[in-house]
Amino acid sequence: MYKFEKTFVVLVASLLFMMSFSVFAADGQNRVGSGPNPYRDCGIGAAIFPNHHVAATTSNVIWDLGTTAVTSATMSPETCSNVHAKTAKFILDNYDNLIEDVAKGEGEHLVAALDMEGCSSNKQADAVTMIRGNIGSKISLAEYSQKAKIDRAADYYYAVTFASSSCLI
Amino acid sequence: MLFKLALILIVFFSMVSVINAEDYNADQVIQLAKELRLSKHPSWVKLMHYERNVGSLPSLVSAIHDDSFFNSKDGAFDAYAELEATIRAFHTPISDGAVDSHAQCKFPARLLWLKKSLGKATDNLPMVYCPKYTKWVLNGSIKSISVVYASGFLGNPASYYGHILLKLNSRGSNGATRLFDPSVNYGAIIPSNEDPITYITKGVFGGYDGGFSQTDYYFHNRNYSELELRDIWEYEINLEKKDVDFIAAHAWEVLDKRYTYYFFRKNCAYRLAELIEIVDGVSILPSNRLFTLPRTLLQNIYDSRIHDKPLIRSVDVRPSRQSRFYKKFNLLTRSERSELRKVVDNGKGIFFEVNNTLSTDSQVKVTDTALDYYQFAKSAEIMTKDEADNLHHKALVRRFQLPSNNGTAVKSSLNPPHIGRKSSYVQVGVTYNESFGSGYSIRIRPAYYDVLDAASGQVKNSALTMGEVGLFAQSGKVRISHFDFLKIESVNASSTNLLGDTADAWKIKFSTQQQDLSCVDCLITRLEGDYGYALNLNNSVLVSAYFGGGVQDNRKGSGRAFIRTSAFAHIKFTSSFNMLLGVQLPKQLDGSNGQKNRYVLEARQRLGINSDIRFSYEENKSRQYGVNVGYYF
Repeated sequence: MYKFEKTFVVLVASLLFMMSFSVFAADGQNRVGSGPNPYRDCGIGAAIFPNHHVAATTSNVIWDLGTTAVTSATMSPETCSNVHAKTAKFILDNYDNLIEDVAKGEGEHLVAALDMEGCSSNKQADAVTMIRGNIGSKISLAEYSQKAKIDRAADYYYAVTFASSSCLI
Repeated sequence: MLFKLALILIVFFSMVSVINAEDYNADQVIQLAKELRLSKHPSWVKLMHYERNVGSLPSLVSAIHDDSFFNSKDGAFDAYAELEATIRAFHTPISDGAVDSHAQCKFPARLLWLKKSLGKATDNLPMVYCPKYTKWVLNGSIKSISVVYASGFLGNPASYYGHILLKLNSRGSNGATRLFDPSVNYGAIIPSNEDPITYITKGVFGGYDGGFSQTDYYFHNRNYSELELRDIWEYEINLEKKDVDFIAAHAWEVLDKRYTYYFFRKNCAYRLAELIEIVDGVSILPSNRLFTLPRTLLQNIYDSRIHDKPLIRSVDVRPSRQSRFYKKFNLLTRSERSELRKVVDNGKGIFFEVNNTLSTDSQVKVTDTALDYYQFAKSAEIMTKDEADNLHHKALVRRFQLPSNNGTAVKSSLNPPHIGRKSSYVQVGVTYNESFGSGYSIRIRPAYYDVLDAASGQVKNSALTMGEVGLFAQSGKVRISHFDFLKIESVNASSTNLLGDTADAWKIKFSTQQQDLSCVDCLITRLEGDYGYALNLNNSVLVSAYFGGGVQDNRKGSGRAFIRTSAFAHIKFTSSFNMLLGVQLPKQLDGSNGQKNRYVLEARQRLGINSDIRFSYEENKSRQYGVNVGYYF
């Protein structure tokens, strides 16, 4: 009897675990925090900032930057319709600040991204913990260090939008 | 019953009559505007950016030369024609699918002002919904406006004096969401790959168009704070909501419109000030007619009042990556600094050996400082991008293994740029020269600072001067002792002495000056430059050494080219008393022996915020002593 109970518990636990994984996977396919790579597939990648030298020579000459990429993203094919273009662009443009924020567990840029995704301020601590766990489990892997910035930004985007989906205002 | 009916009819017809009296058509509104002389009203002149056309007709011409800014073909110079055309355009029925191009959508500030000036006469204007404009003003959620100042940057001539832009603060704006606030920026429109000479010449003499652009604020935050390592200051203006809306509406009107850009006077600070001066009672443009310095504008704004209240509500800072790094480094304990040096100096990003004795808190502090260091090192080109990114990544991996912070952000201690002296300087005094006796000396520096008087918001231990003239008067004769077209001394004084954070320093000077101190009639024109290193011995003493050279016109055996070594020390005895010591050892390349060793000492005592007294000694073939009193204005 004891053996049966133990087997039953293990089976149920395994089933629940598989179900939760399936839910997560389905989540990843169909809802916020998933879908196409916003940068490679939806036209946002064109908004990468110029390097230091170019920025220096245009510091007082900024003209017609900032909206083109968002427009192109929102005009992209249907598969991109769920991409939150403004958040995606922000993450790509400010990746260095954002990855530091999540490593430290706090920061203005991270809060801004969560605000943009509609995550209420009283739930942001939990969201940050979730994002930190998500990114933290990948960042030490060898394959992560080989990733291009645009793919790291995509990982970050998914982590933020997924965490935000549980803390909407 | 009949009486009641008659009464109702009387009331009804009298109401209709009243409505008719207020039912102005476009012609009647124009007539009323004409009677009120609105085309000559200062607000209309400001809205249209009319400027005096000195010495020729028409007497007023708009600074904007962009047809899309005008409703009348003569609007650029005929204020009445533009007013009339604008009123007519506002009465135009809405056409399908073109709401955003309706005049009410294109010129919302003019609409606000005309409604305020003409009252009920504008009640009959068609109601137009403007999707793009509504989005621009964040559905009416703009709560205030901030003037944003990016401190000076010696890496680009256009940024020597700092840069000013405008930020529209949304209602929910706080420490986080303000990164997404809209910002309005004025700059010259410059073709790519413009050569430096053309860039400077056209920038100074009006060879470029200028205009306003808008983007999310985080773009500027990243550009200035992270890439160019410039501190950013936000001055929130204390205006009523209706005035905030008026400025936001006018900013919308001038977006993408073409002006003529002038680096010295009609630059970013000038055009941004115009946007704010659109509000009645605000007068902040510096009175100087030759140039508009962003820092001077900040001081004007800070000192201004509106409705008996200060015009500035609050001042906030965004320290650059470099400032954040130095601040964190200076807060480390000796053992923490030692650990950071090990991490940085090994060049492999290896953090904390197994036998490390640092507490977890200390490891957090060291790792956070290392993160700042690698980003700073990348922007300052201390290491290559790939190298910095690789080491930064290793620091990140380590940081993820440590606990999260809990609201322990380091607070900045930087002084805001409006504090301190004015930017222009005049100095008078007496001078004694061994070769030709005593006389009076006069020095006028339109802008900006020298090594001894760099104020908040300016680069310490550095100098930036344009158009400084020095005169020497003796026996009724006045002679030029020097005229500096441009003088820059840039010292990136190391605060940490970490690997790569060695302080490079450079100088460049283009001037007309006396060949040496033994002659008052030996003006030569010289271009000279030096490159070297500086070192903070402690908080009070900075020393620097250079190797350099120059070319000049050959006059009275001065020679045409030379090289030299030089060394300087800047000593701060107190917060108000400091001294510069220096020696230059030149060698002529053409065998003319025209240059002699030069030794200088200059001591400055600050007397008040806008005054000082300086003692100087200089030896260059002859000896000269001076005592001078200076005033900043």
